[in-house]
Amino acid sequence: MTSKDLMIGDWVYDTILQGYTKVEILTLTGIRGSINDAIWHEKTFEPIPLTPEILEKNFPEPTDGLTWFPEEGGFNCHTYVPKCEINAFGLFKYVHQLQHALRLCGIEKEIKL
Amino acid sequence: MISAKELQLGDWVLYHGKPARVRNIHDNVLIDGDDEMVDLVFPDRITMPQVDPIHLDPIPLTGEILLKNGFKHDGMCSWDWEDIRYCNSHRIQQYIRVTPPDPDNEWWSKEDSGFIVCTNWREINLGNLQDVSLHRLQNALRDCNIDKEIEL
Repeated sequence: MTSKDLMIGDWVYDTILQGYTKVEILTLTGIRGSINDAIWHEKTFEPIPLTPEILEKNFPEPTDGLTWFPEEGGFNCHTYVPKCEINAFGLFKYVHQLQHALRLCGIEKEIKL
Repeated sequence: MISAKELQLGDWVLYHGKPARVRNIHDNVLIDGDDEMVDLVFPDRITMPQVDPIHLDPIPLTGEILLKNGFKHDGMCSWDWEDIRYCNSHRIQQYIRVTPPDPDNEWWSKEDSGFIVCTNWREINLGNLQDVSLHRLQNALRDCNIDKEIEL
């Protein structure tokens, strides 16, 4: 994962502070998250794998804009808004990938970890 | 107007009518609550440091941009670009399919219209071509793991 893969608001894991952090600043090779006070190298951060717990916590009902089921290597997810053409589906491995797909569909949802 | 939250590094946007690429993205939620800052790089200038919130507009996606970047028009009612190859016996397919409305075609239906970025592990439908801006195409390509540099 590099800073080019991310967007403001994405959840990532800070390997130094060992905690989840939300992206606030992106530069060519640097990231500052919500628990940092400076821009650190992108290699400091890792993507957060999607888990059934995260998905169940945030999408208890399929009407929340997402349907999902486990698949080899991740989760098969479908983000959509009813009566809207814009949608995304396929294999998702990490939380930030799902956040991007939700934003793409115009779904303003704060993902909780 | 584009929000910094819609952008990724390298995206093409318009700043005062001129195309520029995103170099840095800041979301100063801890300082002012609403401030968003984006640094830009212009084709004819190395950099334009920007410290204040700025107004950015999307670049409409056009047939010319698609053609210039290798997306071929198939001569009918769709844009089509396919790259099918075999890797370790697994078929890898990725394509962008753009089908604008074609009321003159008696076979056309609304469901035919759309802008789809597809790989064998992800498919993203961005809606109608006229609603798709260049930075959204770039973000969809990245989300599909398609590493493609878009030129204007």
